[in-house]
Amino acid sequence: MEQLAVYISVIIYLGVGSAIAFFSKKFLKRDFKDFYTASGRFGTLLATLSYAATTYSAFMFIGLVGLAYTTGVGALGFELIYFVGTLLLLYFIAPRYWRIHRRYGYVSPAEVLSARYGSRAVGASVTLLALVSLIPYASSQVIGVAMAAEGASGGTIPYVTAVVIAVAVALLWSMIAGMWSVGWTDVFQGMIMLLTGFLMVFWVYSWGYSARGFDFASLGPLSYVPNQYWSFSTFLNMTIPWFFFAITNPQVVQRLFSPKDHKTLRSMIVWFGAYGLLFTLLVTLLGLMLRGLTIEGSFPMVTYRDSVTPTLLGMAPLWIGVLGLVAVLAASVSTIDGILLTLSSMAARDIYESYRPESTRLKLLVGRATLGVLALACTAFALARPGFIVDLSVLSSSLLLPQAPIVIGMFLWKRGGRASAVLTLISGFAVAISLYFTKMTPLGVPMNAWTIIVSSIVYLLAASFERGPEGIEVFLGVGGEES
Amino acid sequence: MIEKKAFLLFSLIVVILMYLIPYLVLSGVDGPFTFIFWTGLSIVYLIFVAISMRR
Repeated sequence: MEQLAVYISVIIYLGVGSAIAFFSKKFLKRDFKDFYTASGRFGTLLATLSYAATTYSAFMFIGLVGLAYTTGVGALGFELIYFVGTLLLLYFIAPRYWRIHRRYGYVSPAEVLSARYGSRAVGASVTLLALVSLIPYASSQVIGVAMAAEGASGGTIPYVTAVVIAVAVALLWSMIAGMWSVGWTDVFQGMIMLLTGFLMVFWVYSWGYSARGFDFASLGPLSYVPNQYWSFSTFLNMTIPWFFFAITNPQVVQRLFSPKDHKTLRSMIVWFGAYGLLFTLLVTLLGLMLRGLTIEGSFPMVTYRDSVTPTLLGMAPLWIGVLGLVAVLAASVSTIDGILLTLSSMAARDIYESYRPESTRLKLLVGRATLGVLALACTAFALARPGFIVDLSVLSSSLLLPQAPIVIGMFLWKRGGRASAVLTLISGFAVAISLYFTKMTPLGVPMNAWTIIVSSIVYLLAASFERGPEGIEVFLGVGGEES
Repeated sequence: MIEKKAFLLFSLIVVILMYLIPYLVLSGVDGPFTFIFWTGLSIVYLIFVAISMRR
């Protein structure tokens, strides 16, 4: 009976989502730009929930719940540093990206960097960096779904089946109508995620705490920082790439092209903030409350932190288990399809079209083929189960971090061209990857601090000696003008 | 321009407080205080951004 209910709920979710994706096709104009950016025609609801659902992923329902459960309240600070950093960066950067897209019609975030730094090599380098870096992040979404499915179904939905379903759905929904199908399914999924977050917290509270309330003090060292996990160095290391997430992850940068006007863009930022704060509080509170229940013996001790939510889904009443599974699926698929779509647009625009301009008719085909290749790569990576969801997610953002100086510098400084941008990317990536594998922390400074310091210094030094390309004043004028 | 500088200054203060207060002032203090501090400051910042965006 339970197994049947799980299958039926997943089928209903897939059916409704696919119907929405096909419905969205009526908005699609059959051209490359509209497929990848919706030609800047999203209203506030679509833009907000699309941005939120792309940003918030299995990382939240599986990774952050488990992180809060295992390490305590530091998990909240870690996620809220992201929140503050994102609002700060969006306030300054989002209107500039939006205006540049409006004026020049750029499709991918890397294309903007190519234009600013006067070389297609910059866009190609950023694209290669993103292709390598985002595979772990996209794969961590798939891992989250598969674990939740195993937990909610009591093992009747095997890990491999769940992986294949999640990737296939993400692929299907991104190919049906590009940004339109991804955006509309994001609205559906964003609502499921928030509603389920409320219901799960409400249920856990009424199940475990209705008689006496939740007492933070019962968590002991998990109720404050520093504790055994959250040393200041660890906190700094994990929050730095998260702080810059909004400008280094191309799948969210590309969302800045979609609002229909400047007012919609501003509303999107504020409503996204409200959604994000609420969702973060719900998810973190869920992890902390479950830990409180473990301390008093009502919830089993879970040692593998990504298994906390699946354990809850397996224990909870059927309706909570099923809703939770669908919410994890929604959170994951809405992020994977966004990543696949953005990476395919970058591969088509910034590598293929950039170097084969005579073959522009084939670029949409190249984009779709890239979607398929990336989906296979994510499946293979997820089947290997290489690590914790939070760690994989932070690793992706760490590798993308060297973009931060060149994105910020793009709008603030007239100096710097191809050499500055490419050197910054190479040096930052080299530092990140070498410190990650050697586990070294020179002078006691964590890896991500070194990455941002080295890439920023290289950028400042190189750009000091290199003039910006011709026409940059016009470019900066559009990017920096007041609204 | 002054408004943007004020926004940046306030934002940087918020970011610094997010790091320092829990690790210095609330370090080792049992209970909901760290949770409330991070949550409260984030709410204040969201309201500040919403007001700044309306201008």
